[in-house]
Amino acid sequence: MAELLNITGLKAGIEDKEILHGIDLSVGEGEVHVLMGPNGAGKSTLGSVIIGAPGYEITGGSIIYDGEDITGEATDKIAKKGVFLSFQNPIEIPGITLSNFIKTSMEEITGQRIKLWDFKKKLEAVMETLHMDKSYADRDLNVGFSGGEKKKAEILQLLMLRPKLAILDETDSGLDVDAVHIVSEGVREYKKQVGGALIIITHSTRILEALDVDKTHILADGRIVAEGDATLIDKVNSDGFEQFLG
Amino acid sequence: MEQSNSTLTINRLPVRTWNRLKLNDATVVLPDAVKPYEYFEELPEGVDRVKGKSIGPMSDIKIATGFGDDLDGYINDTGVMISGYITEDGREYDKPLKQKYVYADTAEGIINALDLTISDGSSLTVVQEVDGHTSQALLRNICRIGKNASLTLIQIQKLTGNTEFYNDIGVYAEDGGEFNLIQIILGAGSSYYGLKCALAGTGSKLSTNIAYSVDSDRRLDMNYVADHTGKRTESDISVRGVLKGNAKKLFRGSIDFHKGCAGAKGSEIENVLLIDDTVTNQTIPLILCDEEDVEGAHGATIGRIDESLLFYMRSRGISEEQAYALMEQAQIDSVINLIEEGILEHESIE
Repeated sequence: MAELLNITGLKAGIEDKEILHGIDLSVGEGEVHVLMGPNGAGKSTLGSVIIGAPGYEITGGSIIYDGEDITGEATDKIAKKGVFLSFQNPIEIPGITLSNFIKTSMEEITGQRIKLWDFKKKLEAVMETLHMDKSYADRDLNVGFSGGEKKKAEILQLLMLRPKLAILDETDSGLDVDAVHIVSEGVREYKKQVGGALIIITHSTRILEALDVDKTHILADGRIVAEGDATLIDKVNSDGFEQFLG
Repeated sequence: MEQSNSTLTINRLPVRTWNRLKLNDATVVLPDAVKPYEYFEELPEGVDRVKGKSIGPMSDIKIATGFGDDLDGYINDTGVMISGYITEDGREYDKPLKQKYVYADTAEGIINALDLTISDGSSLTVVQEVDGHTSQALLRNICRIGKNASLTLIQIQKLTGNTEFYNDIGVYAEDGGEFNLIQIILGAGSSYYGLKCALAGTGSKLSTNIAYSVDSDRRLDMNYVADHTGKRTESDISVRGVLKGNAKKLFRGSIDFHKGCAGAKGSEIENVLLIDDTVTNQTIPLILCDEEDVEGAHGATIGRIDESLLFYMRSRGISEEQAYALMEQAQIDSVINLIEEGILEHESIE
């Protein structure tokens, strides 16, 4: 597989506090990577820094995506290149409907106007695969959505925007078994339809049920302390993170 | 011949605050030479229109407006004819009463004074669209809402140029009467908006949903008063807006609980999105209380787009500039979305 993302010696933090102490990570096109680790290990920080979140300072290393250096690039420019971050706590936006938001995003990313009728048909089809009621399309984005609906709305965006690299930040947290199953199906659909690469940040393995994991990384205290294939996930499940901590 | 004018004090706060803040009221100069504007109208079958007077059993009730007494005196002095409307008892109208005012430049001031009576048990939606441009234009609505009657007034203002626009409303609601106001304020050089709603009848209700967008050197002066005198009356004043450039906006919102309005509830909230640091945004929420058994709440959210919201939008490929444009539109759309489908023509709020 050709390399899609290459992170080398990445150091980053907030204000004077360094959180990531030199991360090396390489993701090939279409690969599925799982990022696990105890609370406060820096998993979400890594996802946020890749997509250029404000408030973080990159003090060393580089992020090369699709052959281009995107270290410290503006978030919207990184997103336009095909990187997607699914938020742990999706934001509510009164006045902008879910449908309008996704259409605007698609138009911004592709740089092309999208015909409303084509868009609606596609949106409705994807909503059906996610067992989302069609009425959500005309509701203000995430306003009054349950935790599960918010996460589904994130996966809906993933399927509509079709990024080359998707970072899912604890998309399965706070969901009941059925919702995790639906979200997991959505992620599988993304793999099937788009064939993009995934970095899945998770505490549990339920979201991985329908996916073939290529590589697992264990992050602790801002460093990658162990790497391996999917069997590493089972090891974490049986023995916890303690075994990887110095 | 030199044109004569009248100087009026309008939009007075029910209780005065420090004079030096210059928030207590607005002083305006209106021309003495005025004429009514011939508006386009779609009158639903069963609504009566009578030129020159208010009609019906409530016609003798003296109704105060948001602008206040000066404006009332001024309108009387100009001798402008009032247009009276009345609905049939107990009738719910499917079709709205639509009026369209498309001003063209005139040397004289324009005044339209309407008197709407919503008879007992009936319900009506009135849509007033104001467009075009002129020097000064005034629209006043007096609304008399009968027992268990309901009036929804939708006003959309898209005036261009330096038009000075005056929009004044006075409402009186009897037992179980409801007044719902939706206002979309998008244009005019200077706009003055006033509302006073007398919730006199037991269980009468006021609900407002107002959206404004003020940019460049334009200004907007607002005064909204819910006057609770009836028992278990309810008011809900909700305002959303966007300020840009050197825009100036003053919002006065007052909930006045008078003695005897036991069980009344009132709330007011303003949500303002400030696009530039150069805007002037003033908000005065007032709750006046002369009755113990009431619930009143007020709040305001004022500011720029939250950083986390901006980050979320940017993570979906939306630039900061586009995000601001979307949020501006969202402020207005959240109120436009309250208007029932089919009531407005498609091109109304493009």
